[in-house]
Amino acid sequence: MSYAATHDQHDDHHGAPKGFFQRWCMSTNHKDIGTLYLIFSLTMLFIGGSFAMLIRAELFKPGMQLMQPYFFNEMTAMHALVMIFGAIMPAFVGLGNWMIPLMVGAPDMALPRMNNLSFWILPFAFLLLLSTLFMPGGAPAGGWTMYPPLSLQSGSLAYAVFAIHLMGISSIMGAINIIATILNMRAPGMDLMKMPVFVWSWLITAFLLIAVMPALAGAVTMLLTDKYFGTNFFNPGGGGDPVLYQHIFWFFGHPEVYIMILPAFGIISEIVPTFARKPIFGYKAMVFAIACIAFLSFIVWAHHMFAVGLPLGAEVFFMYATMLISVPTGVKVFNWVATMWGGSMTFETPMLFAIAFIILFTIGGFSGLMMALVPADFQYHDTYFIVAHFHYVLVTGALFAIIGAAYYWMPKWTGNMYNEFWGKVHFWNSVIWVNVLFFPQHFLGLAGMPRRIPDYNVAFANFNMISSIGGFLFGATQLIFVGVLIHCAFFSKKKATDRVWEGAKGLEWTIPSPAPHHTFEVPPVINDDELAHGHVND
Amino acid sequence: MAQQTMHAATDQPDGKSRRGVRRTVTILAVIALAVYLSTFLQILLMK
Repeated sequence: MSYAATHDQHDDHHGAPKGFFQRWCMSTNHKDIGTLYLIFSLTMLFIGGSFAMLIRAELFKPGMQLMQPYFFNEMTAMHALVMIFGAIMPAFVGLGNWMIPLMVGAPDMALPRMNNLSFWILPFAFLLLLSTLFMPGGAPAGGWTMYPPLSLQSGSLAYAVFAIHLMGISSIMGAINIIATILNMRAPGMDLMKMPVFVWSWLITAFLLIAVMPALAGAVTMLLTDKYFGTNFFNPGGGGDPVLYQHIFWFFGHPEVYIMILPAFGIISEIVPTFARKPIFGYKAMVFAIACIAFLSFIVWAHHMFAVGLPLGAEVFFMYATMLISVPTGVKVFNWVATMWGGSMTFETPMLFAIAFIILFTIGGFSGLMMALVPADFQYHDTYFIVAHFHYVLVTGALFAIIGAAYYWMPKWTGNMYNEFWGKVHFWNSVIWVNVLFFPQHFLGLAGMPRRIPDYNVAFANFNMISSIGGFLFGATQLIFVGVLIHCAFFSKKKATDRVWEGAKGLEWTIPSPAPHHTFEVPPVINDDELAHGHVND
Repeated sequence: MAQQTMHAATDQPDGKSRRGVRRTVTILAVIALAVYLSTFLQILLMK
């Protein structure tokens, strides 16, 4: 039996610091910093969500309704930047901060002070980015990709670039911290091939972050020097090439897509075995599939650029490389299904979100496979089909995994059970309205409706109205989630047990609920029976 | 000079793990910097 030395050690008499400033602003505790990340990302989810509501309100019917075209463009760009860098990525970092040390039996992250800095950079970065909405030149309006020459027209480009640099620094420091923790702080006996899949997924994601965030920093720095310092990196008039920007951006951008989904794969690989009451099917294959997807993510970037006029050989290479990704991804989907097969399953809220993830993410994956085909992509490029595809991957994929993770681990964080009824109300409303929101966008795209436009042909009116109604209701449904979170944290009378879920295995379930401020100051004794995936070599 | 501490469970000096953290951070930081700088060099490939 593994045990956690949480009550009989000298250091464990120290609780959390008493003062608010000391506890939250000066924190070096991985749990507190994880909580800060999660609160920050939830805040950003609602700010980015409010931009999405404005977009859907404008698109509710044809014609210009509520805003000027430039403001619409600002909304599309800011919605994406806030959701990607402010909501999804910090949520995964928050979950990693909370759970990785608990899962590997470490007392904290390897670099706790840097952990604090990584978080506290973010609010300033987003204040800077959001403040551009109130500046005379307006916010960035060239989309999150910031292609030149369009993005160079923005008056506040320098602010946006600085904000992106700050987000990048935060991500790189967070990634270094996670790798240093996993490689150096594991409890004795916690071999790499015994780690939970969530930890593996974060280890690989952290390497992706370190490899690609500097490329984004380089690309936006070149934008900055092109606009303000007379360089011509992307200006054909001066010997530069705007397509070069696209290459560098997507060398970052495609791995970035996997940065937002690999930790989600890890989360699903924790939730499904727990509620199927079976070990994960094919642990090693799951780990190698994640590594394989990460490797392939570096050699597919130009599939975002099929329409710019690449050489035929390049288009064929990137088409086949992209299609290859479906192999390891298929391994993961089939392994999740095989894990559930024959298990004594129950359908608590985390499991519902996990099952919805598997089905809906696969739909997003299939539409991605359609776009990988070069000739077909010329039809889909820059249409609402793309919008439908990446929202299936990022909302019903990444976001559903994050919400599932919150329900799954919340009892461990707070010591209280959330309200299962309202959790299920949240789930069913989410899963219905998200499909009403995004599924019609496939049809709009196939019919030729371009993305990033505030007005459209009347032929697209019906599906847009349905999509907008779905959007408003999906947005409103997330308020239920906030209610469940607040109730669980502060008002729930139902106390969580240490193990919380009957089928839960792993070190994080051996500590008390709520998790004490300090855990594993003495490394736990590892027993394979208690590990989430302990007998993989048998 | 830093005082050597002992790992409570294994009773081994835990300096090795600290050196490991330092080495990991150094290598990863160098990789990040190299990627950043190499981004600017790609302009040469376009000529």
